Amino acid sequence: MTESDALLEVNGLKTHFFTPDGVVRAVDGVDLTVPRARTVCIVGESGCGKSITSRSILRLIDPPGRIVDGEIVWRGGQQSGRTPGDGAAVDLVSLDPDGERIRRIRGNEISMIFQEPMASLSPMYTVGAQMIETIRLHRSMSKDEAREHATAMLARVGIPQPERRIDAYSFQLSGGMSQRVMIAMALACQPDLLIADEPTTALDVTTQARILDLIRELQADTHMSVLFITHDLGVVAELADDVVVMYLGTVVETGSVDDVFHDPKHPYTRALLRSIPTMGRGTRERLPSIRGMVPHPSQRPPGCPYHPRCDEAIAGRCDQEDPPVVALGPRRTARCVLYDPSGGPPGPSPASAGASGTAEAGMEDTP
Amino acid sequence: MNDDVPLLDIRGLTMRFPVKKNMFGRVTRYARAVENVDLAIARGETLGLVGESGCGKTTLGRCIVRTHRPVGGSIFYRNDDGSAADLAALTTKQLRPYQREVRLIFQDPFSSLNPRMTLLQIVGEPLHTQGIARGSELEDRVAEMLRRVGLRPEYMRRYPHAFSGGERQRVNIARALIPQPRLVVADEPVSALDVSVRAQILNLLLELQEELDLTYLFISHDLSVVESICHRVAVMYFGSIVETAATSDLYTQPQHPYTEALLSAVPQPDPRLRGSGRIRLPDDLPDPTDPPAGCSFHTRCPYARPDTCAVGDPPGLHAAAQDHEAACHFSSQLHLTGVASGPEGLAPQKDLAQQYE
Repeated sequence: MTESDALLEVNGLKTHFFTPDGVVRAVDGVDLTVPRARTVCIVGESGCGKSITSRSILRLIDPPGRIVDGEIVWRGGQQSGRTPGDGAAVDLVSLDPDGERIRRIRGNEISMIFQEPMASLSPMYTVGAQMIETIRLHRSMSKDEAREHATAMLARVGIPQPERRIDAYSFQLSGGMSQRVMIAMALACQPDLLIADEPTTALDVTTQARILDLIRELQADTHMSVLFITHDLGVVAELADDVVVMYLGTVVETGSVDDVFHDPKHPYTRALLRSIPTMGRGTRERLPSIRGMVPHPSQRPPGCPYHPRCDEAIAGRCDQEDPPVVALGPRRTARCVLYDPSGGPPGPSPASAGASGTAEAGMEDTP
Repeated sequence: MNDDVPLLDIRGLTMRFPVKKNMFGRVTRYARAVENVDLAIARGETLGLVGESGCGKTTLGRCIVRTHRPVGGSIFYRNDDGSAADLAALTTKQLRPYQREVRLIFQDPFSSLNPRMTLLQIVGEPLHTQGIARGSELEDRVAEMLRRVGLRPEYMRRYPHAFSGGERQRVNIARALIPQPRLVVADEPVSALDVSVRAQILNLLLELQEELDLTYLFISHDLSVVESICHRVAVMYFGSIVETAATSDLYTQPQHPYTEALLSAVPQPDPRLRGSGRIRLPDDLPDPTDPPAGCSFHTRCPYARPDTCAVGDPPGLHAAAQDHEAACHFSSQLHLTGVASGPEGLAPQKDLAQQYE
């Protein structure tokens, strides 16, 4: 991948929270790349730092949290040439979190939608008023023009009777409708990147399916990039081009969706894929489960954060040294000593550890 | 003992909530939550109850444990000696012995445990209030129960805040099972848990069922979880059961369009199955204070025929195949698609585009 293909590049990001009980290393060395016009899914369990990563990108971390290291290179804002001087790569970490430049990026170049659509919309204002405010903040439009644009956006996301619904309050809308309004608002300024933090977790499956369809359609139409955060591997399979698997503040595996699902490398990814019930697999069978639980981020185990739960952990190695990030192909990495070419375990093949339950055939590193 | 008689036999159960009163304090408008539900649970069985939020599945569960008093219908519970009691008709006092036999596991492991009580107090409370055990005997039984659900008995003097979501759910299960119940209503017991912990808790529920001879009503909106744990499944829509069958029959050969749509909407953890031509339902559920005429699903159903489905009484549950009931006028004529059995997952879906709008 050439440099300019990457819309967003996060390198070595560390976001720590300095609490009275000690430092919580919520995000501890995250590298990820969002290419242009692609969907990247971050998947992980609660406490793995996926939401903090996305909030760090928008510089929405409140004290006692702080980005202590790393860079977030943003190469958006070019095509539309929004403001003279924009378009060059900018390191978001270097910006003042309350400054002019980041405020021009938020909601304009990068938009975000959240898990609870009901809680994200103000009940005091109509959805129209909230959308018009966003639009006029970033675009020089009159109120009437902005209202027209907002109505068009509501129609675009499939809200019936947008001329009427624009004057509705959030509590008059169902969960699915509110999430559509959030998406319309996020897309009103044609962002280059949409960050969606578990946008369908609070919704029913039938509604979730339609929201996922909508995001996929809009992405194909507008060529924006999407950074989609979820814990649901079914949603990842449905939506992602690339997948980033996180565990306890670190990225454990990255790759294209086919690679990660059909040839998972990291023991955590493999165990996760085995432990989810899949429809059509039969009933009343014990699921293979991962032992133990995710430790609290303030009590990170030394060495590889996954080693206490890992069946393939190597005593004396995984519990002491930080695992290396091994490149397995273009855009394909695993952070595990099993793949470390410089010595270590005999043979990098996960099958030799006897734990792989997935087909190894096909699915090489082609995107 | 006659095994044909179900442990729990629900007949015509109806629950409505008042939403509007007139100036004399008389209720003039009701929201329907559960409407004329018939459902039987055999002893030792796990019955899954699935549906979207607001379909009444939690209310049905709460009627069974009688935290709600249903406005109509009966809930026949078969005692160990073979006699039956109608839980819906019992007074609070008469209900007491059944409160240890029919137990509820809550969804949210964070809000359902009192933060000011230790595990000993939380788990021991049912024994204490029922007067079953006291003092050191109570402690012994709590310790044994904690061990059984996979927690260390030494932790019994700690408070819930010291435990993770998965551990708290184990405490929840221990509290439900300590008075040795026969029927357990598990209301979304794994929805709030992380993926890697979910499998542990599901396995624990399976083990405990075998060890303790339990019968489960497993309420969930997650169809993959229900398939992995339930013998039989009932699908609920807008307060009524629309389909019930053995799990594999229901998943592979659904007989109600709503079941088909639900199955089709579940995202599959396999990128090869990425959805195209899947069935999509419009978002809007009917207003529970103003139910539609005819079949309650006709407002969203892709196969609805206005002349039949939108008029008259709602279709009742009838046999659509062997041991398979569905509440649809056309279940014998529609050829609905389910989940293909085996690891390949969903079969190709038919094109429904022309039937919308």
